Amino acid sequence: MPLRQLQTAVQNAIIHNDVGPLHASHVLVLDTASAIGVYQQAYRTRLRDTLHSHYPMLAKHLGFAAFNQLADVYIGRHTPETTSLRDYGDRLAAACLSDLPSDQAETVAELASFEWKLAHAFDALEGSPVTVSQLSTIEPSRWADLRFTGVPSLLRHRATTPAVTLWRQLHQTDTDSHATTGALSAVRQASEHSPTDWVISRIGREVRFRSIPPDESAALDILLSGLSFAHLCEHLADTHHEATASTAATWLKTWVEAGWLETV
Amino acid sequence: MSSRPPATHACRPLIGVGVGLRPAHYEAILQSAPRIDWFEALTENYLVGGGQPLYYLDAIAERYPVALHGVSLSIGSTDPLNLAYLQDLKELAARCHASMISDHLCWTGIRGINSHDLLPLPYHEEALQHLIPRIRQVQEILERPLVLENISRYISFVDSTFSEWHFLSELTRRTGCRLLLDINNIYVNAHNFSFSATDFIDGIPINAVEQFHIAGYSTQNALLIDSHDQSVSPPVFDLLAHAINRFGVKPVLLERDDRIPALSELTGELDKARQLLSDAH
Repeated sequence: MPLRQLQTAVQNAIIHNDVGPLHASHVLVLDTASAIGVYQQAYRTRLRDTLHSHYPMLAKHLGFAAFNQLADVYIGRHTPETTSLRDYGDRLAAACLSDLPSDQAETVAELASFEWKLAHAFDALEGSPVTVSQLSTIEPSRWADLRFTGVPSLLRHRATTPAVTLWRQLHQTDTDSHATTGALSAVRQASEHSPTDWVISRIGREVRFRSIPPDESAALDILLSGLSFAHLCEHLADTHHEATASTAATWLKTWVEAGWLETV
Repeated sequence: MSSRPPATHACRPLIGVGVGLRPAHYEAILQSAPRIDWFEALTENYLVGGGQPLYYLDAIAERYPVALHGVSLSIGSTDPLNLAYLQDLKELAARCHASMISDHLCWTGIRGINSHDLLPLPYHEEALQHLIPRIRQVQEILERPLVLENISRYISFVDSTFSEWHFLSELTRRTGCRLLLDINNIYVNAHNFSFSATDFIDGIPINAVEQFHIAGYSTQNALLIDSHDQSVSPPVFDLLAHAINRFGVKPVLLERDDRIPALSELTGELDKARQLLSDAH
């Protein structure tokens, strides 16, 4: 059997349990099913372990059996395509929405989305965050056109459910048992939750996240969209009137001290 | 990958007994400076932008010689070589002054899929002809010999016309690539496919080997599985002694990927490997 054809048959047998072509062609020394079974089991176990390591709080919340059930469906739908398994599992939040019971799907999907962003921040590029002292050396005439971008680890997360609260509760509990009482309570409060904006970033080796109020969030989005500092001030003039300059300066200092911004 | 200042140390040779670098040991390595001669880093774990993985790799590479050992080169795949991966690998090797770059004689997927398993090739001329230009291309890109490891396997193809060791020998002869002999894999394959492990070792050219790997195996029905979750078994140490006797003193790497104990619990295995190397001097 030509090499390409052989590799196609082996891959299909391992990933899709399509052992027919291998069996019919008698290309294997050992019994086809048992020999391929070792690889099938290893494939599934490896991907399950990967999902578990990317979504530890989601796994803790769902419990071992339910998480594995979700993972198995996901593995059946999505084959890994990159050289590193760190990229595997990026669509698990969508799988939560489609595959979990509707009474908790939205919160659990958001928990997955939040956890994936934390994983991204964990090993994102370092970036070169601007410092307050660097800003202090910028000529006043250059400020209006000053533009920023987020450091590579910076991600926004708009929470429409109490998923972040749930994540924190799960993170603080030692138990691996199915859904703690507090976590379940948080899920039940989902309908009472008001949307919250979060900022995730990594400082040094530590991934951090914190919520910011809606007006500050909108202002940050202006800078992250590539608009200039002058645009930010124009926006604040509409919302903060006489406090425009001081608000812009205060927020910018806060974001810079948090290590969120790079100058463009 | 983030940039870092030029390192003050040069690439150092691998001598003695190393351990596979695992996140569970990062802090212990930096805090207690264990008596381990070198570390082997899994390439793909460090092909990232920044954060903890590269922080620890940089810090450990400042203190110990480091080898890079990959699982995604997929040298035997009938898909094109992943040139972006190779470029990233080259940059990572420069960053940590990798003393060696190794991967496996295998394929991991085709049609854009990566199974993240080390899948075997048939041992015949068509496979050799497929591998030879790919190995040469990799060596040109990396500007150093590629070191290939023999894998454990649970399938074997009826149209193979070479033994595994004859196939490996031909590859080294025709490409100049080097071999990393995984002693546990030889033992596992010899059991599963009923050949002599010493015939394997004795069939490899004496000057083709750069390094030995040792690890533990588990059993699954009648098969031995290269699980890396156990201590190295006595017959594998015996086989290592046989290999050292044939190939001379080479760096030895102890692998552990599951049920990873504290570094201190690996002392017995490390000492035993050291003793075998010492006995050969």
